[in-house]
Amino acid sequence: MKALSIEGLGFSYDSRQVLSGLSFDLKRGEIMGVIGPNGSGKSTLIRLVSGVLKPDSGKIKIFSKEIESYSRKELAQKLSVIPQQTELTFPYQVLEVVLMGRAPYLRRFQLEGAKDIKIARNCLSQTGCLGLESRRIDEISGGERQRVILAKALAQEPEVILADEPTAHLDLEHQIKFMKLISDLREREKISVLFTTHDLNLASIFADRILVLDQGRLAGLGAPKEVLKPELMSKIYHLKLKLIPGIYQNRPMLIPEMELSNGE
Amino acid sequence: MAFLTRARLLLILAVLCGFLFVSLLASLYLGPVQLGIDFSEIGSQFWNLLRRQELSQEGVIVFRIRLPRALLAVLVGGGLGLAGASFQALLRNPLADPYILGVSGGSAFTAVLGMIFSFYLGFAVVPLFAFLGALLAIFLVLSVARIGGRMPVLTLLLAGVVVNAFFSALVMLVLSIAPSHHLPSAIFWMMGGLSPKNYWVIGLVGLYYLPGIFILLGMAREFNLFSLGEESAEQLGVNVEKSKLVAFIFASLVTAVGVSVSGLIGFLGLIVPHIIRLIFGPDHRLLLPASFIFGAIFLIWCDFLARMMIAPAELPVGVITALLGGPFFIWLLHKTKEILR
Repeated sequence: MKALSIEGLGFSYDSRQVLSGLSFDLKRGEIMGVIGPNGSGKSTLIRLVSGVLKPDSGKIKIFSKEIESYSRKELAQKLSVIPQQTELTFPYQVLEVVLMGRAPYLRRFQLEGAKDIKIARNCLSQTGCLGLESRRIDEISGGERQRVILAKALAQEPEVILADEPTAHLDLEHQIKFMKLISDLREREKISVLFTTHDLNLASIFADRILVLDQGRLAGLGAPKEVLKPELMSKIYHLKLKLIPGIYQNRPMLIPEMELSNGE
Repeated sequence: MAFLTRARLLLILAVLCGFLFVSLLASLYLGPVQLGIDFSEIGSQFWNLLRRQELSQEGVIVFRIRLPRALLAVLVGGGLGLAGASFQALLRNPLADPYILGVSGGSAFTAVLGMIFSFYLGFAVVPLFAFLGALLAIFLVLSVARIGGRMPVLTLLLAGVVVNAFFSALVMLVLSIAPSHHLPSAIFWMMGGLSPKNYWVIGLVGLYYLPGIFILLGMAREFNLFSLGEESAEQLGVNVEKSKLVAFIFASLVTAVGVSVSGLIGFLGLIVPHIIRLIFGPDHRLLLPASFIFGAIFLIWCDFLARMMIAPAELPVGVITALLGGPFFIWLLHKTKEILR
């Protein structure tokens, strides 16, 4: 079953073509990592699928229904988005932030009820943040904050989670812990996940399939060991990369060959 | 602090309403002229007022001078508190306030023009004129402050300062060349004063306020979600562009109507939401109504100071709020200096 299907997607900012002719499917319960150099269109893809940007051409379907046919609130019940970083303007408490994820289910002037609070607490416990409930969001660490934002995303009870470089601001420990949470959630809740990253090895470890974008076009799609080949990656990143096989469940790891040449 | 439940919301608002009621009563009894507290006398005078009969000296003081003033303070103070909290949510900036943003200045300019025309058209047009000025000012500030799609805190404040200075100059220009009989006590009005001519004016203000108050209170959840960032709000089901437009229009309306009857009362919209946030937290579903009620209480007591400090003469209430608000703003600026970097 397809959670998300993209057909011939194209988008340009002013005259610069950012994405063109992109097609792929995300299966239900699948984790897909999107990699590619800066400016390859990764964030634009996330913003298009989340409905913030409108495509110039092509179709985006969520569970076989085009996203234009969902109302904003309906879409927010299917899909939640985790940005790189979230800075709140005012010092909300952690539970208040997670309850914001219930907004798509509430009418104007309706307060969250016992059910919403139960769901929010459950999401906090799934992300290991239950003890933070009444802490102020500006007083917890970056790693904790990103887990709270994940809890908020879960409170939307989504089918699909989109994450735009969710680990970019986290240290190594929290990168791994965050991705492990995502992976566990997929097992438990059958949520589908599309995440972008600059970390090829993180994508290799946690993604079922990897999508490679290069200058807005599909440059590769498949299981990590099919896609993370030194030839392809070296070409895309303009860098000599070396394959280290068989470290983690036989998933490929790539490291740059460290001859930092001068003057080239 | 805890998350918001209906019981908590109602309890806090009820307590604040209690304080407001006490403040309102106190403002009737306290003033340069000492009044004895005699409820039956006040009651019978109120009856006389309703039947349009002659009032005693005490009745005149309470019902012709102090009550209308207090009611206007409730409306204007409440409106500025609500507008301040709304602007802060909309601009994602805890230093925003209708006065600092130049919205009050813009309203003042067109309100003065409206006052000249009101000589022919009646007072009811003045708030409408002021509303146009408020919209013009907020449009100017937002376009000046936006740099490459972003709106840094500092440029927003600077844009507000510039727009404010510009409109103040225009007001002075109009006051200098307009025939003086069109603009009685215009200077006093500019400095912020609460002296309604009659209950009709108060009713008019209330009428203009109603849609603004209702709509802004209804946007509380959107304001909470704006805190996450506009894109995140959009992804949680908010039509961001539409919500912002509606909220800017109605926050400007509330500001403008206040300015048109009581001039420039600065900093209230900054101080009041901040204090409420410190005590009760930032959830706008509580913050917005609580800022209205506390704004009303705050202005009643500022007006009390304005009446008492140099009695029997009185100060413009805008002088009191600015004397309190200036240092408060500097303190807040220091506290938020991380976001200015």
